[in-house]
Amino acid sequence: MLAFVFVGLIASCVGNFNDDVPLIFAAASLSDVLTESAKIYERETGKRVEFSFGGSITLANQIAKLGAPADGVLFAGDGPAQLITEAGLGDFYNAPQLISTDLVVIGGNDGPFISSLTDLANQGKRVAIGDPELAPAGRYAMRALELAGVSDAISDQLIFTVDVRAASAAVESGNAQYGIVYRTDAITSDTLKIVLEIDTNVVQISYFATGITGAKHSREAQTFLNYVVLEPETRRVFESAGFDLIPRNLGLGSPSG
Amino acid sequence: MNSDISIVALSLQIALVATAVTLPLGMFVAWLLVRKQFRGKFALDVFVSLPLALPPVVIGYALLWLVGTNGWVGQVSESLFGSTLAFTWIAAALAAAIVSLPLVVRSFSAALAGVDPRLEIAARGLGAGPVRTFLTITLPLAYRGVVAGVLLGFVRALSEFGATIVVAGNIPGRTQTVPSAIFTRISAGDTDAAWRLALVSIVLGVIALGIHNWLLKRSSVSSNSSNGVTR
Repeated sequence: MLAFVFVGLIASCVGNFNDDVPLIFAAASLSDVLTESAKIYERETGKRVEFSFGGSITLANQIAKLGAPADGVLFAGDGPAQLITEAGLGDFYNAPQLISTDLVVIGGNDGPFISSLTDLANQGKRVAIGDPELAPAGRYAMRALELAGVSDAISDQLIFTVDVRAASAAVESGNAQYGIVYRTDAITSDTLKIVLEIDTNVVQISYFATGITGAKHSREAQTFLNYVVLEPETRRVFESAGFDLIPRNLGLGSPSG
Repeated sequence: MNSDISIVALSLQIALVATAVTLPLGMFVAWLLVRKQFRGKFALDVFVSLPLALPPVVIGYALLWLVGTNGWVGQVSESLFGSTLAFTWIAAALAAAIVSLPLVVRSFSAALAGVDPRLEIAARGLGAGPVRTFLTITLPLAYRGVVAGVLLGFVRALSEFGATIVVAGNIPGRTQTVPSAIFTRISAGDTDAAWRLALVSIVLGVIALGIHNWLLKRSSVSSNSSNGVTR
């Protein structure tokens, strides 16, 4: 009897693990806006998409090196995109480079403002950033600190988190006094405020999207990714969350897939 | 709330499949370890117990190289189903089975060791085969310990995190279990939602361990009294 149960379970899983819904791996910083966009997409087109959110570098490695079953990706920064391109799994050149944001320093609502990154280092308080090995936001934060010449001085104060959302959560919970995150992460919380804006000439962040070459639902994934940045309703979701949308190439209606 | 229920349901599904693997496998290994003398017994004991001593991420990593695109299991499943097992819930179930196996084997071994081998010898002497002896003599006498072991393995499978997140990822609706959802919610600062699932874990753990301890107490009481009778 046990054998029957077992065979039944194995049979049910074969049906289960080749899911019929496109799966999109996306940067943690996009979790709110993409989840909302997917609801709009489903309402308007009747089609569903699913997500795996996390640090873009973590996710890109899962796909490029470990064969994770992604149909499409939307990653922060060109590092993770490069991992996908080098593995021959995606063509970002034809994909929209449309969504961008910038870096800010956040603090608690009742905390003081700061005047510069040097000021931040001098305060001696704990600063949460995404782990530079896993999250592009952390890499950008490190780059900003290096350019300000304070990366050594501040190194003892830095707390690394798995992704950028976890960095702002650490500030929200009071376990870190400051965090260096995307502007869009700062806006999502009402217990946080932006205490310093980092010059966009210093660090500029873009998101890169593509369907995954050879994946079962690559085309559907790309259709969704294009929908998100082209439809007025989903664009509003991104814009109200603080993202800038810059259409790079309007001939996106027919992706090269 | 609805997603809480589907996360718990997926976790239960994964733990059930893991238990379906560890029950027969654990029984066989425990029987070998308790009743048989053979070369490599010591090595088998160490190998099966190893997950108790290793960081679960190491188990996950080893499993990933086995079932991923580079491993032989991964290549076989790729040719059969067109995809590897890595980052599927089956991988999560495998991880859960491996980490719970040592607990199951230990519980089963204790249960089997509590059965007087002379009863088995008598059954064999009266003409019963080894399988019939096991099913009609050994298992009925050891069943409380066996059920307790199954429960312990099941809750260990439910709590598995380190190996699971490495080999199965953390994909909502596909491979996200209760512990990995808690991790995501803590990371995202979603504290209320994290506590809700943490409470579910605590309640499930307390219930399972309560039944486990009650069964073991009952089985020691009954074996003591039966010893009294035979003496």
